Amino acid sequence: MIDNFFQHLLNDFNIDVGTIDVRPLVLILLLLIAGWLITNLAQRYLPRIADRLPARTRSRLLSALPGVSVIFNVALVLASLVILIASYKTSSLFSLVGAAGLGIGFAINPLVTGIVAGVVAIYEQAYRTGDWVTVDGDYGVVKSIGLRSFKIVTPDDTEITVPHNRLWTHNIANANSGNPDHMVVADFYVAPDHSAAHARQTLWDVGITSPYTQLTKPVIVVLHEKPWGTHYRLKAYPMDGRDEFQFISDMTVRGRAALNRIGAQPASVLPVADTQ
Amino acid sequence: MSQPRGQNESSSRQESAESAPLWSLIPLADFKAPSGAAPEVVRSGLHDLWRRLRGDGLHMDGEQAEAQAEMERPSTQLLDWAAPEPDWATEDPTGPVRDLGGWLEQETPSAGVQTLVDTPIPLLHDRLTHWADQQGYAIIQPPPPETILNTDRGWIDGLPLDSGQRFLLPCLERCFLRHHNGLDLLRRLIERIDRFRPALLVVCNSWAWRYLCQVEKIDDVLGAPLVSAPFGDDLLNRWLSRSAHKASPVELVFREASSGKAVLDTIDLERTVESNSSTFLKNLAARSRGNPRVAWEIWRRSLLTTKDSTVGKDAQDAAKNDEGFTLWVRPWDQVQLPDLTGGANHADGMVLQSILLHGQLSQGILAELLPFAPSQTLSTLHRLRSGGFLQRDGTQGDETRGDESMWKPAPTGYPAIHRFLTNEGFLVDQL
Repeated sequence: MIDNFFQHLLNDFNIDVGTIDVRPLVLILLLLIAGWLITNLAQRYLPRIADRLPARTRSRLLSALPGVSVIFNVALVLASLVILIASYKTSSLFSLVGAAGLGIGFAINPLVTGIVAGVVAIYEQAYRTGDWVTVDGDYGVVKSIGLRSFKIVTPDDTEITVPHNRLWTHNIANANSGNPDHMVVADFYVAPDHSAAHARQTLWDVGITSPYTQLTKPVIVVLHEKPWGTHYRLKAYPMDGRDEFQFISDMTVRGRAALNRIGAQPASVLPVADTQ
Repeated sequence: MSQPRGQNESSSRQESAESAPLWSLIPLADFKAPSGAAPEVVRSGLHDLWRRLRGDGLHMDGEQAEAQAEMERPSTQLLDWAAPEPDWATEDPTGPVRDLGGWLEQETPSAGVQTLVDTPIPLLHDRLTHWADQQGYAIIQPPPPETILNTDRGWIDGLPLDSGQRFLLPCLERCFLRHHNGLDLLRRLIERIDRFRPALLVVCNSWAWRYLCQVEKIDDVLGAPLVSAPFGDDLLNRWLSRSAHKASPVELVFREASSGKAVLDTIDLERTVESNSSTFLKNLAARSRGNPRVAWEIWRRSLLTTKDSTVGKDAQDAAKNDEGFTLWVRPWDQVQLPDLTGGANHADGMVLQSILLHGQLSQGILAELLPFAPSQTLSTLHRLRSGGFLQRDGTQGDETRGDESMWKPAPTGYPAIHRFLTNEGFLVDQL
């Protein structure tokens, strides 16, 4: 049946079917289908397998996945080219590739630019599976990287598909760049009448005692004086990046209680234009 | 009657080995956990990977496994002959201080502070407390957890650290809590110790020590600690042989049930010594991370009934000429031990780490330290107990005070906990 399909296709492009053996084309088609299947299965199941591995191994596996996927697909395309070159005369080959390329090129121009952007993103390691990224205001963890786009899952468990060619036009902020750890920040807004040194020490204690904290990484408290009081930022790394929001919540709950205990009251009026 | 030369030599070697002390202290920096036999390392690594990929639950139900082990276990009397339970408070009571010569010999005012680091399955705490009590040391009891959380400094003010006595602080890990209010008393205590420099022995749990070094740089004030030297296969061999020899009225020969290889050296000085040729003890030492208390628990669990059906033919042939009573030891790869790989989540890790950090915790205090609902904490504790990772000690709760029983790591589950927390990236101890 596939043979017949190719015969018709070649007839449509006025290529002399009598001189062309379609078996290599069938082989290439099967190769590409197998490649597509393997890539999709890997994208779908390897992250699930990685979830069961130790944190460091998980991070390494997820980081390597897109690169391996590209190398695999490039190898398939090269293999297809080798089969083409070895199987056909040059004139027939040019006719065949030219006809196919012209048709497909017109049809999938945006797709091709997306794929090229994807290859560039993977080469530059702009994002990898498991990274925490912000694209055009959307923040989430990269769940999978496909040929044309990648998917991020937001803290609200919403999946967003982002085309790779967004790379050409938007900044992509990456919080951990392939590392298992990424810094998170809990904010506290405190009214002026308090001891800043005491509050800073108290918040530091909150950071080093949270059960989520990765203790081999620094815990830092920075503060900015504002007209309405003091803005404290408690910065720390969670042991598992997937716990980011539970970690921030834990630090916030404990930080508020601890500040309250030392008599530091929350700022009552926070100017809308000055939240940073 | 003269003995053959070879027999004389081996007997005298064994006598001198017998008289050498089992327990010694070494610097923490020199501690190295024993490693297992290479095939076992590979086997357990592949086994772990397979369990992770399958996403198994907790490896076994502790109660079920206990029931199964009970069926195959020798009688209690035979077990008590073969592997008698040591009195952990009096076992070689001078062992923990034998290597403290310099500190003991110095005059009290100038002795200063000496720190010892112990594991959550304690080897030093009970024995040092017993010894210090006999020597008339002032033993500093830790404050109740509520005092720590309320930062009630009355406890600190009541410590006569400037009285010129010798002191023992047997559990530094219970002088703080991993809570934003839980470090204040400890900081005051360290300040006082630094100010008065009393003659003080401090014993700290290895997990707490690592945590406090990381966040408080406590080692800068308390100095480099000593730890109990690990029990490798040689020490385990001597210790277990000696215990069995002392307790049993008949000579016992321990053989692997599959191969018949001798597991322990025979201890009878009248006979030619048969060296152990099995890798069982090497794997036991590695699994227990050199902790004899953990090793003893696993060892007792590994002893089998003498039913011939459980013993291979080769093993029976090897035991034909045994002069004593042959006791069979389960092959290492068939020893059923709790395993967390693939069956625990990050929240379980937090519960376990908190308990290890403080040695023991009540459910009420645990709920203060962890960001989970009390019901979730309670269910996690019970799940980990039924899996054989935790055990519950002390009084049951009453209606007015709540549950005051303490949760602590189970010796046989501790190695699995250690491995799990290491793999998951938690801050782990150095022992």
